[in-house]
Amino acid sequence: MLVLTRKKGQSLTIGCNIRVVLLDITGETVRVGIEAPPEVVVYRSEIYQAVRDENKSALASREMAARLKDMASLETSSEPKE
Amino acid sequence: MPKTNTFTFPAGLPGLPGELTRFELIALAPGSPFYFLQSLQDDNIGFILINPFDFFPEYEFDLPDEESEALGIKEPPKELAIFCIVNATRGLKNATVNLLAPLVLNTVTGTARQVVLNDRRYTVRHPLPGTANTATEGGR
Repeated sequence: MLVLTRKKGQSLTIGCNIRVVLLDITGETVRVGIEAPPEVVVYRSEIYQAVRDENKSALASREMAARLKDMASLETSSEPKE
Repeated sequence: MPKTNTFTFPAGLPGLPGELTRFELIALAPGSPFYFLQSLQDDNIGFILINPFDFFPEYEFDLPDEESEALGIKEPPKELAIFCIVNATRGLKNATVNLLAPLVLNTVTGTARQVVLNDRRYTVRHPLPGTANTATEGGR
């Protein structure tokens, strides 16, 4: 991992079009501003990891879906919604 | 072509191999709130989806501008479809819904993204309302 030391208000440029600005530092909390093109998605790492894990965990077969289908017909017949 | 059932996730789906970008959206039954998202590149990859608004009427989120841009949304209400992934691997009675990372689909162009919200109200596992009552025993 590349390690750089920066001060409040300074920034980093990653590649040609990503800029990371150290906006504020209070105690153990750092506020970071990120300028990046729309195709570059930026997430809090732990949240992105949770979504990755959940997607892997939720993988389903058509057979499983077919069982839900029977349940779904119960749902929709009792309370039709748009 | 007014609406498509085939969707491309250019950025893939978090946790899946990045090359799996093409999916087919299959309605499980007419009028059903349940759908199945089948990978067109790997038969073993699929997700159960719901229309979240059928189960969580209060569900709402702001679609970030950059997501909207990446999806090529010009007329939001007409072009957008929202789905959430159901996790039923612990049994239907324990099914949960990922409200934190909805699938946002452009129904005109077929472009789609799984959007990870910055919204503390939502998590990746909300109990699916009604399942404990309506799911039948057995079959598992």
